[in-house]
Amino acid sequence: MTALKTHASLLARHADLLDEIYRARSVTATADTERALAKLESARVLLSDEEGNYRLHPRERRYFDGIYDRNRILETSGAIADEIRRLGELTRLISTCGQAGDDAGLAEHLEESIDTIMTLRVQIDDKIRIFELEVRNGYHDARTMEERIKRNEVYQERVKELIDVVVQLNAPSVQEFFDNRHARPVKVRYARDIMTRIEPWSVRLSGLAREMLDFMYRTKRIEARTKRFRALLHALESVSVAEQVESLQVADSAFCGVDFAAKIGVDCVSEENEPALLAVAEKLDPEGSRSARRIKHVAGKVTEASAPPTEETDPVESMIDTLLGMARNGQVSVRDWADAHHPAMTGQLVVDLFDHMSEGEEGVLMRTVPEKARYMTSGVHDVVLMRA
Amino acid sequence: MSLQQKTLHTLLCGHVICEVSQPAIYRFLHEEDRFEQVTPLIEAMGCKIATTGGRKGHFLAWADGSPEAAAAIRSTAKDMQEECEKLIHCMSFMLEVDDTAGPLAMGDLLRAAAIAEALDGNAAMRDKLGTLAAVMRVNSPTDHGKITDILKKLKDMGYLTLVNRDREEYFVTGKIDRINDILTHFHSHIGSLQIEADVGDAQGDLF
Repeated sequence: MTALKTHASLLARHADLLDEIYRARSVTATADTERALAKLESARVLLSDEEGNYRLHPRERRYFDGIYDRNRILETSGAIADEIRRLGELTRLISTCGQAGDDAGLAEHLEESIDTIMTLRVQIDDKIRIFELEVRNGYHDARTMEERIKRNEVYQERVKELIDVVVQLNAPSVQEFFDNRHARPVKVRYARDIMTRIEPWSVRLSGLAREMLDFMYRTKRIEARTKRFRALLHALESVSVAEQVESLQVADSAFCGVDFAAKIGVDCVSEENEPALLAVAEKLDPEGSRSARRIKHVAGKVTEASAPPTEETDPVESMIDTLLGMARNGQVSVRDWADAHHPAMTGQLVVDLFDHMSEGEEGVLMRTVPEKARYMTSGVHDVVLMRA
Repeated sequence: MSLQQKTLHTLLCGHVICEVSQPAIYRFLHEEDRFEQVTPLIEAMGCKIATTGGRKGHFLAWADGSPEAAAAIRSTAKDMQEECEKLIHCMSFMLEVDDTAGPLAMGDLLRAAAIAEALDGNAAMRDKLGTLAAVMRVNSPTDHGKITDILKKLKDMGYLTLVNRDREEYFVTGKIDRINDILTHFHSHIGSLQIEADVGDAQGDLF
């Protein structure tokens, strides 16, 4: 079993417990859950404090947030209204109890109101988070302007709902709650707790509303720009090119950028540019040959190292050259000369010279032995060269 | 080469300096007193640093009212109109692909994949791509080839700058503002255009 499987099965076995911890934020161990909690803690899914409260590791909590958001993203309406109504009733009850001096009733209603606010807190938190996700994804997913505008309308409704909720919480319920003189001792006790819950909602919502407004203005601006552009294009289609060109010709000179791009050239003759020119040539023609040489030539400088390699002269060619040179001074028998100087190459030299002379050579005549043979294969034994 | 030299060279090469295409030079030009330092050098050539309508791009132009400017504008008007026409086709095509960002503006991201996605199974869009390819003188046989070539061509024309070669993503540069300037010019100088294009940009009710 792999580590992943072990971990996943541990989570699956204790899914209900984890769900409870996720919702309640923290739980204390009971006889039933003690072992499971210890196991989850040792797997670092949970963290415990000195008082024996267990809560989700922040990393796991984020992971669960993602899962719950994905699943709840479609549930847009919740039961917040009921809780808010109940909170309103409770505020009135607290007020009545306070005035009547019913301490037991006051304490009971206070406890309930705190519970209600805590329930609301979870639900509103969820709603705002889902809403934020929806808004962000919604704007980015919308493929057309029309869709964006449509979504904007939906979001407007939603933000109004949420703002209403927070306003209700802030204004009648909580404000009355705090204004109640008889609740002064508990006020101090719970004030910070409640206000710290409510204030962030207001901040988040106002931030979100501002962001939405900003986006909506942007959408409107883009829409207006698009409309103007489309209208202009549509109108331009009816205007002839000649008219457009003419209009440009009476234009302010601001349109007339100076285009020097083609006029800035490279000085190919400058020695300082040579390495760069060579680098370009080599890149263009890695064989190193012609274009590199051409650029070198243009640069007016051919260095030893970069000069084309001298071809190795063929020994037979040089012998032919020698023999032709001798022939220009007098008569020479190829076989005799070859026997004397290069006996191993006699046969090849006779054949090569026959071929060479068949193609014609200025100033030299050839006589074959036997005479007047037109082809080498007709038994030519020797070639005699003489001055023409 | 110092940034000042680079700035002068970029201007001389006919580029539009903006935050997208040449961020370093743009920032240099916007430092305190830089404009004042560069301007005399440009003025010595009978030119000026012109700014696009959106004030986001700078380019070299003949000084106002100079005979050279008049001559240059006469000789380049046709080219400008041609370039404008090409860009209008591109902008209008991109609006068909995705109109949520409005007509092309500096800093917009163009993705070949997004264009290909819009074409997927949409015969009308493919026809439009064909028309655009013809206008841009691109003759690749495949759709993807056409998109790639069109984007490359726009990049060569200086309207786009490459962000990611593999994913074929480009940013629109400030040069697009010049086309918008020309369009605005058409709007205000061609009588028959004025009424039709005059769509107000009223914000309307938001809530």
